[in-house]
Amino acid sequence: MAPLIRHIRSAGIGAAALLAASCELPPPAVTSATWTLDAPAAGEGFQLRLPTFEVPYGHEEQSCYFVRVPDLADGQDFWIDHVRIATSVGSHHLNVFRVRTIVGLDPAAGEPTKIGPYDATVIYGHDDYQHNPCWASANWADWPLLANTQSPLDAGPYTDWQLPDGVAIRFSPGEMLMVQPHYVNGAVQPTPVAADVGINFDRSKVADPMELGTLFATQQSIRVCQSQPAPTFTGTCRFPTAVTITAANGHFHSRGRELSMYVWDGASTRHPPATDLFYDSRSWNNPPMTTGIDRPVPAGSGVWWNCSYQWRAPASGCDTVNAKDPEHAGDCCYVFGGNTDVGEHCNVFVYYYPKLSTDVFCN
Amino acid sequence: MIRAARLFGSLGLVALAACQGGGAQPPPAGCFVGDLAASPALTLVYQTPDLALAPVTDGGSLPLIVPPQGGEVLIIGVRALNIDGCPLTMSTSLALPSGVVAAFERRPVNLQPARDGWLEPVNPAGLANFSNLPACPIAGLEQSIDGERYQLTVEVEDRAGRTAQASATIVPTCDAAAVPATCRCLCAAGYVLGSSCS
Repeated sequence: MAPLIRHIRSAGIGAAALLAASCELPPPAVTSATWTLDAPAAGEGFQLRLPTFEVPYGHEEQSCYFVRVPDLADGQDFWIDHVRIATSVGSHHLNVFRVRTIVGLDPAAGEPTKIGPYDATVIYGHDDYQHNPCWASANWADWPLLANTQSPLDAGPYTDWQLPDGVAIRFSPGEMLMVQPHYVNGAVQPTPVAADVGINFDRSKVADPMELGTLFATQQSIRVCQSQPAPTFTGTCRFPTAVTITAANGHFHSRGRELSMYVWDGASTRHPPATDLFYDSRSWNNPPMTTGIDRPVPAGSGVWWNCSYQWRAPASGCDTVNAKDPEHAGDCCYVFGGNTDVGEHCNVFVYYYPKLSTDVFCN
Repeated sequence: MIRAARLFGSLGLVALAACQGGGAQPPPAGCFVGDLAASPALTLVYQTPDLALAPVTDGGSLPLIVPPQGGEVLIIGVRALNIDGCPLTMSTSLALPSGVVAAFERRPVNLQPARDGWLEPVNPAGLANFSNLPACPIAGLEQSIDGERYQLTVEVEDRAGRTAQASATIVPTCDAAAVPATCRCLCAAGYVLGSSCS
């Protein structure tokens, strides 16, 4: 843990409360759930600390904050090799993307706000997954992933990611970033105090580092149905060049049983051998952010993933789940996206170096 | 090669099991159609931009479609006989002539009896019972996706372990895309994620 991070461990939040089966249960007793994260010294990085916000019980809050990278190097690009993210209890995910093509999610349409000293805008998605552009992932399909973390409930509120020696993330002053927190407040995943998110980006002292690349993949049209309660969805995604995988994590919701990632040779349609496994998560609400993987893969390779699920009866009843199913199958199917109680995901985040040509998005 | 005598023709000797798919009814627990003693037969279909089923023909074009989560995909389905379609595990790949696999995905799908006695995707206008095969962008390919020849291969397996495979040479195309220029940009060889396609 970096010395500037002081962890105040939350009290009273146990796995039993997080895995409670019914959303009708009263909120669990939580007495403290906060953190501190000192900003980098002037010139040594920057901090993005979002305004705190409340998440009413029985609701979710997903919002999209837009802010420009500050100028730390007299107008020149600069490098970051240490990312520290702090999220108060209740964080479902926190993703940071670089804004590119504007489709339906427009920073200019957001409400003005401040992220620390920086001017910003925000589009509050609340839990309106059906209509709000902050929930529609197609809106950021060509926005390169920058960093992410998920609910670190039993590990503490911090993700402390020191990149490998000589590897760093490139930032350009003025580049627009999108910071997307998603909080859930219910019996399954409580948010007992105001949601609080901070990110520190610490500058690299290496003069000419290798650039970090990112891979974000999302499997299309997944569904977890009552009649076929244990499906597995498999996908692949190619790297642009020979790379070294350095970090990874995965994302699904509470029906998720296992999300595994393997090095894929880019030529076979047979399952990779167990020796090629580099990431495995069986924890939907606290998936590991695996760092230090340092797995070189040759040119033409990629990632093979499996997302496995176990259907369970929705606490709110099948009508709410059926209402979201675009297929109208009447089979109590959890389908892609949306709120955690009625939707599912199979998302893959992989970080690699060197980025010689492009970041990667696979659908 | 597509292994089937006819794609949409009738097959009078096919015995239909009770497989009531679609609508608001969940798929039944099994819906074998055909002859238990016969080898499974399989043909490839795709979903057209107007949400109809069409046969995949060797050397033919297939439309690239923007799916709900972004990018461009091919919506590939199967018609099958002598197999249980409730569910099938469907494995689909798109490969270059060199053998490089551009994309691969595997998922469970449900089929239902069609008028000709074959099984076809439940809800042919939906996405759930098709392979949503990722097509664009794909990093690191030496050729474009749009307008180039690829080998499409589908393998299916039912719960009893019956398997079948079909493949065809296809040409993904942006011609029917909502914004063809954007599609061609995303599908170009060497596309850099986030570069302007407008």
